[in-house]
Amino acid sequence: MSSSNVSPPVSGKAIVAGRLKFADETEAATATKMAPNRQAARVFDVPVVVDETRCITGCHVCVESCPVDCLAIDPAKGKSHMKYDDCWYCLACEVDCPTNAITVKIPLLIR
Amino acid sequence: MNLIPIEADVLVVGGGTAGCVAAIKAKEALPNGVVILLEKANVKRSGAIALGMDGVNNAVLPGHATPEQYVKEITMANDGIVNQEAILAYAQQSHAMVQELESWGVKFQKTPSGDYDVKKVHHKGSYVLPMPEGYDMKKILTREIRRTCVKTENRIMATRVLLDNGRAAGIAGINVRTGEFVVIRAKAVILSCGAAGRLGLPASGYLMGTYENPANAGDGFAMAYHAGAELSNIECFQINPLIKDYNGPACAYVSGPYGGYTVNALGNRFMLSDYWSGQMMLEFYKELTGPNGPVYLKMNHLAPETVTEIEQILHTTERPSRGRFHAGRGRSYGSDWVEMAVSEIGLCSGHSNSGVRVNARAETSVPGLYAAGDMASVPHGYMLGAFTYGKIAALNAAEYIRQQSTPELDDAAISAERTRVLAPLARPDGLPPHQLEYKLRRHVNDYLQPPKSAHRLERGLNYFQYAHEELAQLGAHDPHDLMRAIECHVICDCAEMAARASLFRTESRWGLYHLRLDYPEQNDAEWFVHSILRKGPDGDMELFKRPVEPYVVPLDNDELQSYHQLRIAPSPQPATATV
Repeated sequence: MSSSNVSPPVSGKAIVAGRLKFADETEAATATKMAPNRQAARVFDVPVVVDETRCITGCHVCVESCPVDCLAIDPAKGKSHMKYDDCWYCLACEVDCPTNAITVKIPLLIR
Repeated sequence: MNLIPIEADVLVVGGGTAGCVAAIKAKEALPNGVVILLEKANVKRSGAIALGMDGVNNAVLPGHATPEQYVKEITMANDGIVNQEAILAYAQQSHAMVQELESWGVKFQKTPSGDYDVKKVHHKGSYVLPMPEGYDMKKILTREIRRTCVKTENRIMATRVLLDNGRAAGIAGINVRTGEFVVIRAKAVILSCGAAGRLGLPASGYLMGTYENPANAGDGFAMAYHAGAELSNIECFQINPLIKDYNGPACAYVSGPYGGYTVNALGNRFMLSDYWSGQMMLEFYKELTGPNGPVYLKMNHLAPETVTEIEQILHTTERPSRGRFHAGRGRSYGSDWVEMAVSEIGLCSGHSNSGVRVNARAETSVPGLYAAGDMASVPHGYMLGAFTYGKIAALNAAEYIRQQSTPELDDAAISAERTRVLAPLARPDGLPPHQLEYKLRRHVNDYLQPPKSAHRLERGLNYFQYAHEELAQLGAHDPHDLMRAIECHVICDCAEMAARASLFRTESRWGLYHLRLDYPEQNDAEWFVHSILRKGPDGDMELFKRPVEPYVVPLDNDELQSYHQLRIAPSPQPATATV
């Protein structure tokens, strides 16, 4: 079987609504292994909150401070934001921000 | 391949505690040489002490302790399986390191008469030196790095040590901001990449809610392994008593000297010493999971000004968000006990006894490859051990390169590594790294978390081998994702090492760290040895025993047993305190 098949091969049985389309579970397992990966987006409540009225355009002190590199400058706004859900709630960004624009919350799963 | 490597005399990988001092000391020893310090994050805020440290846990200072006393204490705390010569090398240089740090501007707590204000937390001796102003440790180190003209490369993640006929020849890696593949050639490489801190999954389920700085994914353990270096006693896990949910230290080393202590739900003290050892963690675990659990850190009996003093340290250094965590739940040290729990497992010599095997010169078993700090095998090193071994590694590396020519780079190996590390970028629809990481680490909890047994460990091992199929499907949308994808490989390597080493040692030792339900007794006749793990000739992990190095500070049998007597007999009268 070629791994380039997007739609996995299914045995010749007629597909009936409400019935499984595979002849047996081995065929189902093989087919699901070969099916391509697809992704869905999910929204997170993130701990690092940036006050954009205080954040200085052109400054990236917090982005450099973050030990897990979860902050970035939003190219559309020129302001810092938490781009990746990787925060260690260490407060480096909050402590180092020259205008006190950052507030770090304890992540929801922990607080 | 037209890739021009960056050239260095000494390359330090990891700019945390050990790495900063290693780079400074290597540059001082080689004023005309090129010393490069690589850091996955930014040196000013990276590693275990990114936000400073609340104190030195193991200072060996004249008038308070002798190097020999310290060697004995750490030998006892590790059930005898130590290289005493390596611990002694640290202990003898500990005071000089404290003095050097002071000359750089680090402030230690002093008594009114000007002596170091050393506290007793360990079972036997006094080694804890508070640093109430320890919050700017990385600022001080960064200043020294600039002063000595060390070349710093931030946001570069090393992925493999390159070899020239078995000798370290540099590293390959990626820029985690641009995704650019990087090669650095060096005559000597010092690995100081910290603990394997993203091994177990915290009970909160939050991937980055680890005890260790989550940037410390175990990169150094994996790189040393793939370079052919020996790793020792990997089954001796790191497990710490931490603030429940917050998952940071409370911390007994700070509050203990002021009168804080660990109690059970009845308010009774049950351990003689709050110093973190495997034996202490076993007592802690028994109480936590027993009828008198959970376990708390008690400070509400202290005078309000004492509580304020503790808060000033705990809420400004190391993990300063502790304060807002407690306040957010409407609690305070002055009125409430702090609920404690056991951490996820990790690999970290700073608190336990597992790491890349080094001798008293910080040499690994690969020529030209040195290791220091939380990833090197000198046990219970903490911050000062990392500083001191950073210095030891640097001085020996500087000496080593004097007799060495520039190594040759293996183009085929570099090309293969480039293909390996960049592969996820070509699969944007591949498996998301955070999801696979969750799955890997959930399996670590399911099967490797002590108490251990062969059947469970084998189930874990089975998954970590199968996981390679899933690792091959990892995808990355950008360089940040790519870093996380490569870290999944590192986590899987460390998990496999942890499973295999735990299966190998068929006895129980180091309290909770290696508690085997199927081999509950310590068996000195067969297992008073280091267990060594390395990459075998067939590319698979192999394990074997190495004898414990001859002791330089002898202990009698009673002394060796003393960390097994930490339990306090239960008190008949419960204390009258409110939770």
